[in-house]
Amino acid sequence: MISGRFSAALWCVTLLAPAAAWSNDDLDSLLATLVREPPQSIAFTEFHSSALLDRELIVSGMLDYAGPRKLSRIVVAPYAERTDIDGDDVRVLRADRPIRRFSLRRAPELGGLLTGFSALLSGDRAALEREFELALAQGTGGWQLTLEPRNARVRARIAGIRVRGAGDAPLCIVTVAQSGGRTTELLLGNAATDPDAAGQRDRHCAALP
Amino acid sequence: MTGANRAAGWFVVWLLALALLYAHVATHLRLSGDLRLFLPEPTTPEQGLVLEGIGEGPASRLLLIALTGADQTTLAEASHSLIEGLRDHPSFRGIHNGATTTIPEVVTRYRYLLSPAMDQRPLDATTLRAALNDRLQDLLSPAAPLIEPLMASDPTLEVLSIAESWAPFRSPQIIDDAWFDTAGERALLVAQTRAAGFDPDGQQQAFSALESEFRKLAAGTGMRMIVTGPGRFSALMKERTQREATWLGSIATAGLLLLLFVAYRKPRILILAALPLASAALAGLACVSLLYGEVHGITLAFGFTLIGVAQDYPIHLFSHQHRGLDPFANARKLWPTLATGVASTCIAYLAFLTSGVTGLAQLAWFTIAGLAVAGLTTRYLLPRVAGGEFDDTAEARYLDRIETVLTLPALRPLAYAIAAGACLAAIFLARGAFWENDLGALTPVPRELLAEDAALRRELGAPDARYLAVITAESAERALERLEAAAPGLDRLVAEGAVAGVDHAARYLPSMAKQRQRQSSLPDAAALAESLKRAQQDLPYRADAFAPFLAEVARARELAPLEAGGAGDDAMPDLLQGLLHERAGGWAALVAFSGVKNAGRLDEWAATAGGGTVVIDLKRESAMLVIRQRSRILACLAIAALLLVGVVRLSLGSTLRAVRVLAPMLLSTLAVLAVLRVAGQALDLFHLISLVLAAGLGLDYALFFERAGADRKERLRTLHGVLVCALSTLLVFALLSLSSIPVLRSIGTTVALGVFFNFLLALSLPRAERKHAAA
Repeated sequence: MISGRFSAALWCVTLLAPAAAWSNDDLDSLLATLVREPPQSIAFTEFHSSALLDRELIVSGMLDYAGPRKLSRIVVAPYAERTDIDGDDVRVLRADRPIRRFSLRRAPELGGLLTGFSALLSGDRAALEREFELALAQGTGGWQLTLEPRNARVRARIAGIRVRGAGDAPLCIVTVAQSGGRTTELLLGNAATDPDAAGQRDRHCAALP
Repeated sequence: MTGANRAAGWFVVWLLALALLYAHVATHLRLSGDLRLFLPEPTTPEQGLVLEGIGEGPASRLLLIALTGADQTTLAEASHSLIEGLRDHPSFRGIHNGATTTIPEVVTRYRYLLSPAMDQRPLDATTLRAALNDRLQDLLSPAAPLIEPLMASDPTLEVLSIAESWAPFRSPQIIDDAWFDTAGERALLVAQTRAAGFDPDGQQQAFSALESEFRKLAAGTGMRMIVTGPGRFSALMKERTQREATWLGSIATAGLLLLLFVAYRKPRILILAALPLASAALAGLACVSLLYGEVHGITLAFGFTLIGVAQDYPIHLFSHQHRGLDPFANARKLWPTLATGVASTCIAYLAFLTSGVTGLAQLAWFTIAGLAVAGLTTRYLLPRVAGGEFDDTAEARYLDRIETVLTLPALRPLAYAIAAGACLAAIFLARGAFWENDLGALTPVPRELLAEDAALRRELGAPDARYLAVITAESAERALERLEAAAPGLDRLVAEGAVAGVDHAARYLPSMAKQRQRQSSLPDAAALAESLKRAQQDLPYRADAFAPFLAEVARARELAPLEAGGAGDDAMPDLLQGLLHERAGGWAALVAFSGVKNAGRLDEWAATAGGGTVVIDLKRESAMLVIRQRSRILACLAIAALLLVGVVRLSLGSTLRAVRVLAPMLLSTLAVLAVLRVAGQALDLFHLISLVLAAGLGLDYALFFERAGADRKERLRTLHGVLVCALSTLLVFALLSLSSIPVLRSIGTTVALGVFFNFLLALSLPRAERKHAAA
């Protein structure tokens, strides 16, 4: 009897194991392919929407990755602005304006995005899992990693972050705020510099079915 | 047997009477902590303001708080949580760390009437267009999450410009939405307590609230909190005074009991000796309770020190008691001398009754009532309970030896004159200031904490609590209007660098006239909607994105202007309360200055600012108060000295005897002054009180020695009594002189020195008498 029950349990494990292990391995191997040695410069185009806006706004520029949690966001168009992030410290520099300085923790949308981005580039799965619940999905167009914040305060502000990519390249990071209808879609790399950025966005930023 | 029974009966009656008195005092007397009871009545409006300023002024209620010992993010989080935890705490009027979230609802509601930016630009299409363009960039920047929630109802960010204009004089840097010092190592906060600066109990409550809230946040982080400010200092002063007084008092009591036991070898005497002192303390308290209803903590502390003299009375009685002498007869014999001592000491304290200082008058009543009761109980009650055996102190062999050692060459008048001359020369030729005019010099606050306070004050640009301008007007509204008129002149002072910053009520609450003027310049609903529509043209905002803004402006047009002293939802933040207040016959608005570099320019500004504007140098004014108070007390002491000479002359019945008794006391007083001056001590009020105490003690010694005359046994008994008195007093005050608290130290040193000199000089008396008698 005992051996019968045991073998049934074993069956269950062997049935489930491949799926779990497969997804886990997959996440590890995905993260491994995404690792980039700093410094790295990646072009971006960002699509903003808000309940206050009747159409989306687009800014573009470069993201400079200098190491874990060290990142600069340089806006080139339609105006010049530079944001330096070092750990939790954020400084926004804009021509003829005083420096705006604040902590990432007070801007969870940005914080989540950057933790995610920098953890992806450094392949730090532990850092990612400390902050987020991870889920990986595969589709015909590539892969999709969803990051759901663990921290209640962050969760009150951001509904979630979705990273879509193909092969070893992340293509788009979408951040959805809990309220105010704010979403930010960040198109990365070649897709960002494509003249038809909106088209690229439609292709790469939508959630996988 | 019956004698012993009767003594026991009287003992019980005495204890019962003390218990009743205690019950009365305990139920009727309130303890006050207001230090202003010890400051003189003001005579000029400026002095009135100084006193108001000391206890009530904006600077006196400020606690400066620094959090340190963790990374910036943790410190900032703790700073925000501290505010969150204490927001509605009854001990605080407000607590601020520069965060935008601490803006009260009333300010948001009244923003279009309060914002100084409204004077610079109308709410028209051009203004709105510029604002909407700026907001667009904000929306696209990483700061968007912070600004977007405000935008729909406040596209011009009026609330933020109010917050900026309310920031302290020189705004500290903001990290994580919280103030930090220049080095970025300490998160800074400013709290305004509800309790006045000089209410140590209220301040202690506020501090405890801060501390318990902080402890919750700091658990396991290694974070530290530093709190400074006048209120913190007064609580600290009280705590330290109490602590030191307690341990010094315990040692002194133990020493005293040991001394009495060694001197009399009878435990019974220890209890009996305490009865007149206990009666004195309770009678003193009852007297103050009857006259004032409340007593200041300082009166209590000093009062108990001063009536310690009463301990001497039973000692004299016991030292003269011996076999075959009826205690009653003994008391009767000693009474003329004892009564002269009591009366003259009381006369000296009468001087303080006329000082015009409530605390000192309380002290005087307390001491006079206490000493009188101690004298009377020693005369009439103590002999009734002091039955039983007494050793004759004159038979103690050690006394002989002591007498041999202590026999000093008698001082002749010439020697007195030379010694007095030397003392006077030392007193007047010694370097350094004669009088201490700075109240602050008496502070027992540790030097490091004072340095912290100065550093935090610099970082926060908090007012430096020395210079203050006062504008008086018949109403709060007029006061605010006058402040608004004075504002350009004040701004010039800042621009010139004469001062680092100014603070006044009109920065927070514009006059109603100004509010109405801003209100009337607000466009009506149709005009604003039209302007907004034009401003939004071609911008990617939704057409109805700013509907809340239109509604808010429409509401602002209907608001009744905010008034100083408004209550409930319309109450202005408490920031205002220290800066604008009602006083007899009108309102006073204070202008606080920080970083004053050129005080002369302040006076020039006041001259041009119009009638009723005065600039007050709190340091100078408080020094003048101290000087005036002292000269009054000195004059009273001079009168008391004359009275005292009269009483002694009358009691002794001979001018020669009076001179002989008074001379040692006078020379001792000069000698104490000389020592203090040579040691570089500037004299203050507490030295004066202590000198009077020492002189009273010295007079007692001299009176008793003088009385003893030529009889050897009587002289030995007197020597015993005076020796025990002097040693016990010396013990208590030498301990006080070890205190770390300046006030206690100056009392201890002065009295200990006084007792030492008085005892030595009084010793020269018996021989002089003997010689006199032999001649």
